Amino acid sequence: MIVIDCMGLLCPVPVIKTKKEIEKLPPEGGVIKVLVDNAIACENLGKMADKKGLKCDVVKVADKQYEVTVTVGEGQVTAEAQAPQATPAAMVRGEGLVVAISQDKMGKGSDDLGKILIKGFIFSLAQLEVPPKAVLFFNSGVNLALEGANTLDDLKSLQEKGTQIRVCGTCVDFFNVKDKVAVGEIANMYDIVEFMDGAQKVINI
Amino acid sequence: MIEIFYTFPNTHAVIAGEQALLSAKIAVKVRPVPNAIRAGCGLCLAVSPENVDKAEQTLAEKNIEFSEAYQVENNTFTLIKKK
Repeated sequence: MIVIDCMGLLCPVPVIKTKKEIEKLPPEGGVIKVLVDNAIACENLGKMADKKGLKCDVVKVADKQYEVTVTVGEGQVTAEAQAPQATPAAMVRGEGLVVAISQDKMGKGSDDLGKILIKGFIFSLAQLEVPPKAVLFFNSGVNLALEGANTLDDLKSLQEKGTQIRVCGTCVDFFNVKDKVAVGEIANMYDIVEFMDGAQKVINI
Repeated sequence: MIEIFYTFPNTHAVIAGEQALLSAKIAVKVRPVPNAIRAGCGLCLAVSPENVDKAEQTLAEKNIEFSEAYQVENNTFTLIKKK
């Protein structure tokens, strides 16, 4: 068994390290144990394993101490090596617009103005004939996806229309608001970059 | 779904209006002014019909004057109040 010590490392580092080890495995596969210290890393490792069709088990050994075991079966290494990188669903569905929102306001100048503009902006996104493939939130932008935000209904409406909502896990961890995320899924930087890479165009707010 | 859209003479009034309604625990949404109306400052506030009285009372108490109120249903805009 290969053990990767990712204690103290923030996403997406554990996922990247694990992917690299998976690629190095022999054709008959193998088992990789990843040691991490946060639940978000566990979730992201699980998502990565799901995308690759791999078995993934998480054991909470102690507070802030998790062991994530990824089992790679025979043939799965080869299949992965020949296949393109695993892609988020949005990329499979085709190219499109991705909106990256890195603050809870729109533009620079007046914060009061910016905070009201962003609400109008998010509502307008939901009115597009073809809604964005994804809306990504990071840094203070995550505030727009939290419980009590006056943008939640519009984001849920976007989600119902097929837009994928992703909220930066590192950011919600930094602000200690992970429990308050009320729409979309928590994502790591790897997911965020994959969405951007697969987009026809990216709008940065 | 029926909503009531309030337009305002300027953006400061929209910002103050949203804050006043949120402080009074009245559900309010910020919306771009629809092209069909094209009035006011570009943003408006939307409330549900059952909150109209409370919303207008709250705005009046805070001396925030709206310009027009429209009833909106299925992209049809009916002017119901004008100040």
